[in-house]
Amino acid sequence: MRRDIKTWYYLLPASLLTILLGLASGPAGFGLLADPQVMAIRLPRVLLGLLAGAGLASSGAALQAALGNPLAEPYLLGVSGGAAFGAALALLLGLSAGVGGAVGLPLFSLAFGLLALYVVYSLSKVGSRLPAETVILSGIIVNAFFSALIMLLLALAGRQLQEMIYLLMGNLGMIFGTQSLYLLWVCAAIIILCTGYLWGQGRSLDLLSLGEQPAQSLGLKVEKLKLRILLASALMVAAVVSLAGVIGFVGLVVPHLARMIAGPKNSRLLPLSVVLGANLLVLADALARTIAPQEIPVGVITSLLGVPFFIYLLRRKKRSGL
Amino acid sequence: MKRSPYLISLLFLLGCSSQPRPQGKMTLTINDDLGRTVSLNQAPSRVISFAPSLTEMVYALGGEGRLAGVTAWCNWPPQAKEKTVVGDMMSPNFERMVSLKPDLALMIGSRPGPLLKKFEALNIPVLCFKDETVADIQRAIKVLGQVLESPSRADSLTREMDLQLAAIKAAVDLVPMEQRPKVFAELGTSPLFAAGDSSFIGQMIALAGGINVTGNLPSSYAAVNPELVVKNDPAIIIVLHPQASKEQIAQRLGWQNVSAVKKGRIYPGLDQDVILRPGPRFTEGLKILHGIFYAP
Repeated sequence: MRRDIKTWYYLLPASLLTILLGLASGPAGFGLLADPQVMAIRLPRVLLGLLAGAGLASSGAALQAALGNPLAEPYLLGVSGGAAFGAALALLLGLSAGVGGAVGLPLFSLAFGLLALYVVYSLSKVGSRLPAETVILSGIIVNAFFSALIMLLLALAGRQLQEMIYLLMGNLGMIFGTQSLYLLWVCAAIIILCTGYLWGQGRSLDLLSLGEQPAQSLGLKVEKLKLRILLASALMVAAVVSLAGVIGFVGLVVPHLARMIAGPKNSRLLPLSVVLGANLLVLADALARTIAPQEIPVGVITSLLGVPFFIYLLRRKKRSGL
Repeated sequence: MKRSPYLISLLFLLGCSSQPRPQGKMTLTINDDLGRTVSLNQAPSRVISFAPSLTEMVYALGGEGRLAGVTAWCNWPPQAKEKTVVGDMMSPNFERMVSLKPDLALMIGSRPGPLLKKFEALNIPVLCFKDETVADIQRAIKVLGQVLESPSRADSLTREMDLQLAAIKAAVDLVPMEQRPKVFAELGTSPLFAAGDSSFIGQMIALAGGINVTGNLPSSYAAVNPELVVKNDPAIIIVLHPQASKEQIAQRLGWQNVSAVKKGRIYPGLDQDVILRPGPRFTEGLKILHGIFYAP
């Protein structure tokens, strides 16, 4: 408990600093109160960064717990790919303008994100168990399938090509219209509700980590719990994808980082993942906004940072004999 | 207009000398914009155009009878849409191209691509054109004039362009640099896409007497942060895509104090093909832009 308090004692001021840094940096110049109009652009973007980072990290943490697999992550499991395909399809069908943009695109990305997750789930199930290897393998297969579908859409696209490519690269820079602001509130609601739900399931997830049979014998409805957690994760990922595109590795790396700090208990791990994820994405986006005069997609930065970190994790695990 | 009369008369003579010849027989050696030397032993009669701008030039030169195939993007003049579509440079339908038995292909590009190599392997002559500047357009028209046996038409076309360019330049030159309007050219909304000075639209803005607020981008076109628009405060926003209306742009977060928004000087619904396409109608585009920049 004391370790917890100490962690948050450092983390909360650090988060505040991150938010201030996010608000202060941008191509219009470094500073906080220089121009309220510039702030009107940066504030929703920082908000989206916090939300997307939190959503991806908590969905990653929950998936890792529910599937009992440290490699589970929306990006690797094909959920992001499915959601991205849905969003790209909505773009191709011209659903990105007007009311369709506020409803059609998120619905499409949700539907296909769920579909991807369901296919992975049913493909990888062996009896009532979800072995680590089959989850990852089916994730790869589903990802490959949706990548192919996305490429098909890219080949068919005319004017929408540019929009699609930026969606696939992951980008927080698409939120500056009033219309996307409504979508931001919807996504905020989804992410807060789902994260809250997952946090509430922390103890059940801890039980689940004992193994399915012991958990079941202790009165846990394992299948129901898993399905709900998958659903909540997919909802959050779809919400993020419809606003910010595919941002990789946040959902994979952040829960591992949180586990290094807080240990394996889910009721501690989840809130820490949420806060770390939010911080990480806001910082990555601040970097994406300032390193070049043009916009660098933040998904590129998270992947560039995430992969080396993941390699470090792998090597550490290898050294400790897995 | 600083073209020497001597040069014009020389071109005119060149034009005359090739015109009386019967169609079908000629020997023409051309250095294209890639520095390749292309020899044509007879006048081409089955031409494939790989760019809307080149298609427009062929029509403007009266060579449409020799046009066998066009791209899916070739929409001007309207009759061009009735020609056989052979895909485009990114996704060409090679079988259909070969089945058209072309004797000349016209392409845009500053470096050789796979399509060019395929045509070279089949011994089908290819002319490559640059389309980055006004001078590129005029040179392309002159080369096409020779190839399509209408050099005098090419001459009068480019001369007309020179006159119109000179007229706009004379009007723009009267305005000192610091009084020229700051312009933001928007090419896409998600993400916000802008053009640098090296792009064709960047040059069009400068020629029409505007100052491109995203001129110093490191590439021709790039995604930019909407903050840049707020910071650079353009007096005019030209909207070169169909994705956002004037109202949507005016309502964007933080754009309320941008001069163009405050004064209502946002221009959607422009003819993108005329303004963005480096073809024979670019002077029309210049006139439209100049009209917007210096609207009373």
